[in-house]
Amino acid sequence: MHSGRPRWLDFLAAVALTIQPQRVSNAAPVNTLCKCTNGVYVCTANLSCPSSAPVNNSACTNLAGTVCGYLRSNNAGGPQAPRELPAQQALEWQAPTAAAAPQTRAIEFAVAAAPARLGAASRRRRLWAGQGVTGSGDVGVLASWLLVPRISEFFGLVIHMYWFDTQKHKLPHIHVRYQGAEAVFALDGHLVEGALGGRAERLVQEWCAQSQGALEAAWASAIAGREIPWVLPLQ
Amino acid sequence: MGTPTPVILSVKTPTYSEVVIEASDGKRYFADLAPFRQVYCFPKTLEAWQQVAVDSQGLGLVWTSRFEVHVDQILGLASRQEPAARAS
Repeated sequence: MHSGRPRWLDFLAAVALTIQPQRVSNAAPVNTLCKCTNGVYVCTANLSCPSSAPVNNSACTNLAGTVCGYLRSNNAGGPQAPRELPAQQALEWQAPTAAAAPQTRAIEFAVAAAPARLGAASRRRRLWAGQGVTGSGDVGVLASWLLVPRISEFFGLVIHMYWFDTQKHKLPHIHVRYQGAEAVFALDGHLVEGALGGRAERLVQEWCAQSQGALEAAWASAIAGREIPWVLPLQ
Repeated sequence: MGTPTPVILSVKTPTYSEVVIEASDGKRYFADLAPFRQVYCFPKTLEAWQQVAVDSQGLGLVWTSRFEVHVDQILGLASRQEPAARAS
């Protein structure tokens, strides 16, 4: 009945495939280790992303394993919208959870079209925007998600920063939405307009104090019309 | 603390870079958003411009290119306003 190979060996092989689905073969051409896919550079080893997007595919071979949150600055009208992704690459997104990865910008997602051999747990990956990833799958949706002026989200608070938003409020500010209400805060956490309730406002102030530098950088991008970077949630 | 921000009820895009919104304050606002052309994801064509929706809370407009504006920005750029009941 048994073939030459023990069954436990098959089991181990299956486990190995499940644990490391994202690892590419050593035989893969160098220029496939890191490529621009749907507007995002996707690499296959676990190194840090540089501060700016690689110039070309060959320039990002040293980024193997990371999915950097860069957006392709091509000449074809900017990044692609999620609806342009092939159906099999569709991702189901969930809001970032503060407890999921306290040191990173974690976004939980499930790869809807993951190979059937992967269990539900294996299909669910945690993806770090801008600082690497431990999962496979396409991240075009992530790129699009990063593009919107929503710059952070935590404890039900959604933080927005809009481009060239200097007309009504002259000072650098953010828009915070919470339970259907919206308020405007200066980057130092000072309430400018609206109200969210005591606890929510304290959380925003705490987050502003924690993220001062990142918020100023985000504001600089917003008033220059550039991509507004994601800011780490309150930790 | 300022006047309460109205909510966007509907949006129309008559020409490229222009929007007409109907707001919860009973007014229709006409605004040219051309000053935002420098934003890197500003829609590039009329066809792309027409792919717009009101966001889930009615506080902004969202394009499929991922460009967004807040209702305050639209009101700030409005060149004309009229009662929403009046036919356009």
